[in-house]
Amino acid sequence: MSQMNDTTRPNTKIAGAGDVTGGMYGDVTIAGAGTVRGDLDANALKVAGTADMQGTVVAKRVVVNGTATFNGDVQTSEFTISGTSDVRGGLGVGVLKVSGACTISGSVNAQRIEIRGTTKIAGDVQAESFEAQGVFSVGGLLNAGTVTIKLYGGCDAHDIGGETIDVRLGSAWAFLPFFGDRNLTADAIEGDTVYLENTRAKVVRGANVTIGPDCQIDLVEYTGTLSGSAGVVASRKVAAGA
Amino acid sequence: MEPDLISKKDLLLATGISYGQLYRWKRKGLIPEDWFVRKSAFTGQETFFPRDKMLARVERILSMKDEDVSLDDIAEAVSPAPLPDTFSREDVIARGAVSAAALDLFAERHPGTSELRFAEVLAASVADTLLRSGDAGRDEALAAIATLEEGWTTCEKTSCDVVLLRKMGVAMVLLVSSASELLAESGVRVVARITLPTQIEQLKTRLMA
Repeated sequence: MSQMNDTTRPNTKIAGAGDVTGGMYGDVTIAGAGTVRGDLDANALKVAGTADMQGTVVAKRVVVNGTATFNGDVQTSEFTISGTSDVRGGLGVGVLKVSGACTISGSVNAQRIEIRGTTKIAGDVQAESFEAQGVFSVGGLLNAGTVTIKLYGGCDAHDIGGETIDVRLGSAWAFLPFFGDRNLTADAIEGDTVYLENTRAKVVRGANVTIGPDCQIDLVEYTGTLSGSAGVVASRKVAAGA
Repeated sequence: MEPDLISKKDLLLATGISYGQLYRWKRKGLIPEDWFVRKSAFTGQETFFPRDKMLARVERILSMKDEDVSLDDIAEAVSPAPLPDTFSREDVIARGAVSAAALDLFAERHPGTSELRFAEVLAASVADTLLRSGDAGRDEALAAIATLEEGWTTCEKTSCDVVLLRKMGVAMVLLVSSASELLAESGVRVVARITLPTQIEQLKTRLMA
């Protein structure tokens, strides 16, 4: 929309407590407590203190080391959260990296998602790659080309679908705190290649399915191969298709 | 189960595509969100699709894939989003997208327009469909064009149908969301109902060929 180029966009910094009105900016840095009123279109948004974003945010890069509340939708190619973020709208993002805590009330559309911390997403998630080594909850469908989950706590998604789905117990010696029981809960898990450990699901469907240790699956449907190790609890196994 | 729905499992069996492919196509927007119909089943919820539309869509995607069309290009071809380009009258006719007669009708409302935006070609193509089927007369086709021009912003956001009603020779054009059922007083006849996403898809096929 804008005809402004990067050199005409002013940078701005809130160091103490302050307000800025929305608009077009270069780099926006909030080091103290800051409120941005209105929609923000920035090159980069960096939050080291506390930020209250009252409109939508469009930025090439968003980095949250402090605490940020986004009251509208967020669109960015890179979203890095090592502090705490609360997105009350939806999120469209290239790469989302969470090593802190993050809640998102809407849905997430991403190229790549890497979760090391805690993430709660109320809507659906779409990504080419979804990698989690922390704790997450997805209220809707988690749809990703590759789903790689290392369990370090209780994780859940309503449903999971994709090409390759790989769920394993995180290594016990990792320098990561445990958050209660380490398992994954979902209603349905569907993929081409599925490997599961410590998973509870009503139904698992796929071409090649491996049910590893400590799973409770009510029904497994497969079109290719089904393998399992000791401790497999699957009440019904059905070879679907011809 | 309703006969016009197909379960996800039956769809995969019938078409030979995999779960991974289906989820990828969903991510790329090749299959509209509202075709995923959730219904309760003993395993929790199962997904169903409108059978005919879904089978046709899968077949179309597979045949385009055979021609090495990228998923992003397929998405553009099948999505109801308008094409960004403008089209000359000659081009539209040469591609067999809209008849010259319907374009003349459009030109009557907008004299001197040489380049048409996608939405305008669509309006003309709806008029074309109505005229060709004999459902509408000239004035009714013009009314359809006017209705679409006014309501286009709504149609861009939700799936809409153009409906032509007639009672005692008096015609009326409506834009309704595709999911709505129409109940009219007796004596009112639904002469034509054109689903815009389908019309858009057909139009795009012609224009992009």
